[in-house]
Amino acid sequence: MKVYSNILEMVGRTPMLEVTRMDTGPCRLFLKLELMNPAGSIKDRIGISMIEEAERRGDLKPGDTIVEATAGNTGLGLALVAAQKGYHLVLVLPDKMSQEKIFNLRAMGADVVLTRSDVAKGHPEYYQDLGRRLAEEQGAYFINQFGNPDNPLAHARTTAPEILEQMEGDVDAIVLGVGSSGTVTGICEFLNANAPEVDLILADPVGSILAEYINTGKLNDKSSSWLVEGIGEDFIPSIADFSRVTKAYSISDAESFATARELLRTEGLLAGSSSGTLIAAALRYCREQTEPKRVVSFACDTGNKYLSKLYNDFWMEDQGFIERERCGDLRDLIGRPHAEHATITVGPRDVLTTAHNRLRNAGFSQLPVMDGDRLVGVVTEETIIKHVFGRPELMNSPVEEAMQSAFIKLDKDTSVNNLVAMLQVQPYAAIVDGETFLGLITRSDVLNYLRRQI
Amino acid sequence: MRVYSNILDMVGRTPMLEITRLDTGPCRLFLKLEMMNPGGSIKDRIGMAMIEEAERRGELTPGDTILEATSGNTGIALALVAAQKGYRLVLVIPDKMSPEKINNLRAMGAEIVLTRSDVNRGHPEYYIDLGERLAKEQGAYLVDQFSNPDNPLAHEQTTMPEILEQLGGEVDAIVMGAGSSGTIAGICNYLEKHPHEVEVVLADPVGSILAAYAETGERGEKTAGWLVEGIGKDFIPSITNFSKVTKAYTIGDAEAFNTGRELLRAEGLLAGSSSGALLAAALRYCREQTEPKRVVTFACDTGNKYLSKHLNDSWMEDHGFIARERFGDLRDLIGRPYGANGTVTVGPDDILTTAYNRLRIADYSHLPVMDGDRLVGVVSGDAILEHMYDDPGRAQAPVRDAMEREFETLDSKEPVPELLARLKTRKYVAIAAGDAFLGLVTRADALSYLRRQS
Repeated sequence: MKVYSNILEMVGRTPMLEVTRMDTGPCRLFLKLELMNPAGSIKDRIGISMIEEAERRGDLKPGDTIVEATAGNTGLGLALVAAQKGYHLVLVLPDKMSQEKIFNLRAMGADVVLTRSDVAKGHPEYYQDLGRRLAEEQGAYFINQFGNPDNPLAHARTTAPEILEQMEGDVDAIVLGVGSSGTVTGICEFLNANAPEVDLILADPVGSILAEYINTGKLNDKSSSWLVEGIGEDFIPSIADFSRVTKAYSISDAESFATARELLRTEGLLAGSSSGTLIAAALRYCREQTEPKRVVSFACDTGNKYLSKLYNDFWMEDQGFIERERCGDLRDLIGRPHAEHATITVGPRDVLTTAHNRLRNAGFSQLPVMDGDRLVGVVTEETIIKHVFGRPELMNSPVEEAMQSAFIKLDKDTSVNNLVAMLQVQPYAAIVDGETFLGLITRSDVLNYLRRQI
Repeated sequence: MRVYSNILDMVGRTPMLEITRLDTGPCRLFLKLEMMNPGGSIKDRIGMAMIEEAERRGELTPGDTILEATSGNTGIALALVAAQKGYRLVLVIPDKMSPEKINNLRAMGAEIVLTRSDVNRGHPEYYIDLGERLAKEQGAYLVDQFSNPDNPLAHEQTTMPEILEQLGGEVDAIVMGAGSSGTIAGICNYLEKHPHEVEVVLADPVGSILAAYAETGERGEKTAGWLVEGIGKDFIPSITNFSKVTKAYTIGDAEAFNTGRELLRAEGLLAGSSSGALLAAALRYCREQTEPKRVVTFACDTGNKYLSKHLNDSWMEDHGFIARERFGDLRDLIGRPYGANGTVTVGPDDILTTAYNRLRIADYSHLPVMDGDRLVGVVSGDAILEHMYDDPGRAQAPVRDAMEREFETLDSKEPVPELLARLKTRKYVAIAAGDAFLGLVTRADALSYLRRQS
């Protein structure tokens, strides 16, 4: 139980957890818990080394501006270090990033510049090109983790020796993913000098070009996109050293997400999507072995950032990764079934502020108004605003005064074609079975349903 | 760097971080980092104790059902322990809980029963009453942290001895909050058995009845609601022991949230809202001292769950906890100002899927369509869905096909009533200064503005 006087002392020296409740074949599998780093990921290590090495060379001194283009945890790692050391940090992010990540970075004191996420390398608004240009314009230090040798250095100096120390020198294989390629390159370098018998195994998302490059030497174009965050590439980063990688596994989004969920359910560890990919590959490797081996992989980042994605059953259904039981009627289109306690509802005598807060919290566009078990109305942000417009004190009036009580009500056995026709008129319909309310179907529920049919 | 074989071994023995960048007067202030527990909060300790003590008494054996009514971290902790030990866990939760927390609990294997959050103790659907009834019906073990002596026991046996060990026995004061009151009761129980010159200081939200009860023994009525989560109460839990409390501070939401943000900015620590309240009280206590003292408080839970709340500038503004720069013109009404790359926008030739995903991720109702620096249209989620509705293939169509071109633009110097009048017939108005687009004002923005004014 240490007492630290600065949070940067808490970076690195992460514990390990042995996987004991999943099938590891004849092997023992250990996870290095990088999610225990103070900003929640393995990138804290490179945040420190990329700044401290630049300081040592005289390229940076407190008060300077640091710029990086990043879509992920590197931004958090840099923000942590920059704030503690007194640097101004500008992060260029593609605008597909979740609001939560942006809030987190801003709250840590970083300046966030959003740019387009729909343009490719070479376009002036592509986040990496824009980052490089802003750094030049502002005379700032451009971190560029993909080409920065201080990135692998962190892993050569800390991650790899820690693993050897924790495993008491007895390691047969390390399974890792590649984004910037800092981890693989740094670990390669350390193993070459200190433990040449250890195999490196790559876990790569389906669609990324890296697995095929390792297994066959062929460099193809990116074949499809993937949803797992932080690993996989469509180019070979300039710092990459794959010389010790003996095997690569291509892991689909579905397998990655299912593995992360299983890790939480069985071992209790809440890790991010890339950890799911790594552990899926590690489990495949372990089960293929005929001799007992000691295998290490990583829990790269905390799963707290993914609660509305891979840990959300409805998101998993919407994406087609988990199948809901099919009823063969309109129930199959209900996004949030009432009987599964999936709906958030409001009572007719609740005040509008309550309804408004619930709508905003849940990110829904409409709430069923339930009087006991009976559906008596629907309230939308629109109806609330119309009701209170110019009379904000009416936010304290009951929901029943603002709700829509005339709404489309359809029996669950109505045809999908009829439903679609009805939804031209109103943006949602209530689905009932006799007197029982089953749930709302919105236009976006129909779109999700239609997409799944294709 | 330990190697664990079960995640439950990682509960407790948390490190401390000394506060060095905030004004602590003549004192030294140490935070016990309970957020480092594997479930992310101090409640992991009681999750262990309340289950293991029941096992020891023979009241629980693996396979049994455990039931608890909880709106917070206790649910996560119980889910962690129940899954590892092979219990079925049912959690009764008020429906104001954030969907992220519910996703987290479900993904850990807990069964969730949502109930109404708008009813009080005594109502059959109040979460605690419903929990008691379901436990009886199902023959389940009801944990009931508010009256369970194994809750304070966890802190008596682990939290307090750890603090003394970490600080070499030299502790002058401990500042803490009370929800179930397990922490404070456990620490008071410890001090009754092992006398020590330690002051116990309570941090309580404004509106809660505990501060007055601790200082005067009076059981008052709750005077107001508060937004800080997990501390403060409107009743006195039966396990309470405030015998060693020498002082209590009441902390308002604004102070708690701002202190939580300050902690992240200054010390780099991402903690929850209750930690903000505790730290605010601890800082007040420290600054009031005339002698140097060694003071301990807690970072009770991780701030990852609060990124869309107090760590979100817009949420803080909407609740009036931070004031945005005021211009005295229509710019004050713009929800998400354009410029400084702060606003999410879309281009006319982007495809509708891109626009729809951006709207959803940013939780906006409308996106400005920008051709370079020129506003050429506005696109809403409804407009996109309507456009794609008959033909999901139109998801690939350009934004220009679905955007509204006929929008109204007002100069930022126009009077507010003029804008409000336009919003009676329109969902949004674009605000400009000369040719420069400044942002959209939606009806929801106008409503937030009016709520702030009233």
